[in-house]
Amino acid sequence: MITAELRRHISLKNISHQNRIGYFFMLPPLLFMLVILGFPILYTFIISFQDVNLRTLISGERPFVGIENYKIVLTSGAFHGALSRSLLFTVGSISLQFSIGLVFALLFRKQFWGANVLRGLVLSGWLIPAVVVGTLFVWLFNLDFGLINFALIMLGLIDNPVGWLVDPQIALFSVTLANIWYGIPFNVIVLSAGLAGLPEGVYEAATVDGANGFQRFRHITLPLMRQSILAVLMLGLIYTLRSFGLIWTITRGGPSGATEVIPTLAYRVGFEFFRFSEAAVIAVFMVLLLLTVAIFYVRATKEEMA
Amino acid sequence: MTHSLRKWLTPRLFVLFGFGLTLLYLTPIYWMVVTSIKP
Repeated sequence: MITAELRRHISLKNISHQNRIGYFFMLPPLLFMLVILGFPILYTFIISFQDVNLRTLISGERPFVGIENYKIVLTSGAFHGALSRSLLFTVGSISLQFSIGLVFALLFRKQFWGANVLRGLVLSGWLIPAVVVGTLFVWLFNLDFGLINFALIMLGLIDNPVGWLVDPQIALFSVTLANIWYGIPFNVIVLSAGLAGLPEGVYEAATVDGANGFQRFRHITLPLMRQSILAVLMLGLIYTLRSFGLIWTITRGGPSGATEVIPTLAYRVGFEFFRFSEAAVIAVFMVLLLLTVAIFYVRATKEEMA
Repeated sequence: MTHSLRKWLTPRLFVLFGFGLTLLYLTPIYWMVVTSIKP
């Protein structure tokens, strides 16, 4: 006859055994993350304290220089310029991506002619690679043959073609527009999922109480969607800050550095000027910046779930 | 504008606005497909 204590002992033993199996199954992804993610980050961190350029890379001698690279990068005008452009690009992108994404998410909640087809087509933008979107916008923004200049002239809004990508004054604006276009489907997907989970009863109660559409949106939809909104803004912040492919395809950071953001600067310093240590410093800065946002996001979602 | 008319019109205007915005959003994709087909 099995006593209660023995039964308890057996079940505890089973749990610890299951735990061990659980840890065993966790090993492959853990190893994968350590090798594929952990090692490059650690290596970048190490070379940010060494003098690694094309000469020392070949010779193998990498003198330790302390925080010299950090001093050079953090006091350089190029870095400060890229940082401010990154922030402008990110704030501009996220605010409009979110606003337009929310309009689309609210729109596709309604049933109207062609709604399903249009929803599918809008979401298909998310499937296009950044390089393809970049190439598409290079055509659209073309000075002589671009669709945007053609449409604006036809509508009588401008007299002469605008140099969307060749004028340093507006190149960052043009690239931001392209990024807004690219990021909208992601916002629609996350916000639509958030909208789908809202209880219908609350809306019915509010309608009975005499709330109009805007009041329902302001006092029911927005507060209940707090978690989705937080998720989409934080993930958008991370995706936009590390955005490289789109800008590189459209302008390569030009003209005359007008669209140079932190990721393109890191690439240029590393693989065009071959100053690997300084590129590593910029990369470390990016990692710390994104890590801060990620920690904030994880903590915020944890609080929401609790 | 009477209350009932506004109640009837507002959602329809929103759908119309959203429909137009969607078509504007889809223009680059349409243009990409058209230019890839044209000789």
